[in-house]
Amino acid sequence: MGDALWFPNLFKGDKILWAAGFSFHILLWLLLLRHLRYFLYPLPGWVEGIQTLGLYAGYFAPIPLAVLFARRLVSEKVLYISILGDFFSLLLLLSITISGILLGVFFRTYLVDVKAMIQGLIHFQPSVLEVHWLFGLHFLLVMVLLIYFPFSKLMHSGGFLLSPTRNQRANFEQRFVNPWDFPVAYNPLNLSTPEKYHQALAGPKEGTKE
Amino acid sequence: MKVPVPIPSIKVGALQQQRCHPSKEKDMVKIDLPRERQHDWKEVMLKKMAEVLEKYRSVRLFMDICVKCGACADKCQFFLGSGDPNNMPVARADLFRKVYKRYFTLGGKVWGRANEAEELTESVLQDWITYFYQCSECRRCSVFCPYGIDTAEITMAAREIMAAAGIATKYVTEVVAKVYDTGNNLGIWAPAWKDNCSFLEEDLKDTEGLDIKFPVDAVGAEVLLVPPSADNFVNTNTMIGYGKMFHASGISWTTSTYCNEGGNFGLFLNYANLKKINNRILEAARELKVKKIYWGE
Repeated sequence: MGDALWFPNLFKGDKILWAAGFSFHILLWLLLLRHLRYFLYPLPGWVEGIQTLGLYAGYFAPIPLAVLFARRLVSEKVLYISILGDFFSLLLLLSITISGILLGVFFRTYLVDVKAMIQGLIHFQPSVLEVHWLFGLHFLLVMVLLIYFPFSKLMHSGGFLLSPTRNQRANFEQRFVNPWDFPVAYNPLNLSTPEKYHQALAGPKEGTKE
Repeated sequence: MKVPVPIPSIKVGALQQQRCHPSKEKDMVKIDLPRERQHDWKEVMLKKMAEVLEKYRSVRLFMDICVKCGACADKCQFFLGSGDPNNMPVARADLFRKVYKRYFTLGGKVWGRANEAEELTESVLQDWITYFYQCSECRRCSVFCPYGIDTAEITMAAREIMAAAGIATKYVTEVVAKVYDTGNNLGIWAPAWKDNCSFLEEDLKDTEGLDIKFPVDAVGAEVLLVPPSADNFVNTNTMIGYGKMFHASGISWTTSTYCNEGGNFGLFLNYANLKKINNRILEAARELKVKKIYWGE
């Protein structure tokens, strides 16, 4: 669990990456939980409680994302290993957070309508929403992210919990039987086999001690 | 004292030409592998790859969850020494990952190179041979990976796949073949092992005046000691240490001429050989009717 919460391995290896990665993931969690507001009715008290915190998380979220993005371009080693998908997911997240900030600060959307629309979608009674195009963009990008998610490295969010080097503990009390174990046989060309060793032990014991 | 290691800048292809000697036919036939590279190596490798991905949950998971954060990039000793970017653990795993993506994931099949997927071609295979044999399976990278991705597992999987198609290096196959002939990596035959042990007895008596036995193949001893074979040959001080320790604690012990090697080179080749070499220890223990096995490398 500690591995999932604090990324201690990353802290050992790369401090800048840890700072950016860690702060980004915390901010992302706050943001996701804050957005539950638009999906849940009636609203639980704790979602209301983290609204302010979530709002500030939104303002700061692009910073670690930008650091992560810049790092991919600046460090030659990381640039070498980066693929299109790495930049794509970072850019997607960046544009989602930035459009979110713009929506919150400059192009205020009437959120009661938004919530009514999402509730409509949840209850299979879709309605048409009249809002600024920027909201549409924000919404569309999130949809793209959700489509892209299962085919990409973003699956690390669930996958790392399954990582055998993280969730397995050495247990010497209990015998582990390999499910796909198969028998092995000696090759006739091998000079030293169990049978030959047996004969050697049974034969005259010159040279052996005790 | 901590001395910071200078981190090299990348030099593409610095170790591209540094390749291990290919395996020899005489060794390959002894260790149940194809004599030479199969003419249908690609199909054999892909079939084996599917099997490996099925068997080892770790390998498939490590293929999927790497985010290429680069935390491991400057941690590999082979990278620190050479600056070859393919020796960064993440890039080494990518050699495997791109083939995996091409044949086993939807994204790779549809998007191809845009998703960094690549066919298993001759040049990819050459990279595999070069770089998967430039990994010592030390697992230093997994210490720094936030997901605990263990490149050693990927290296082992890749070597297993290559071995199935008859591709291996001489250093590993020769040593494994030697174990099946002599019981150890160094190729010390049984008479030589016995002679070395009696020499150590005499030596101890002469130099320190101690009367310590180094029993070989003693049936009914309590402990079977499986030392690294080099202890009997080069690092004899360690072997003397074992003898003194057993002598002082009064435990009856023995070594075996059938199995006197704690280092298992099957780990560097494939599972079947790994298992067969480990089996020898059990077989020897049963023949000698010991109660415990002390085993180290």
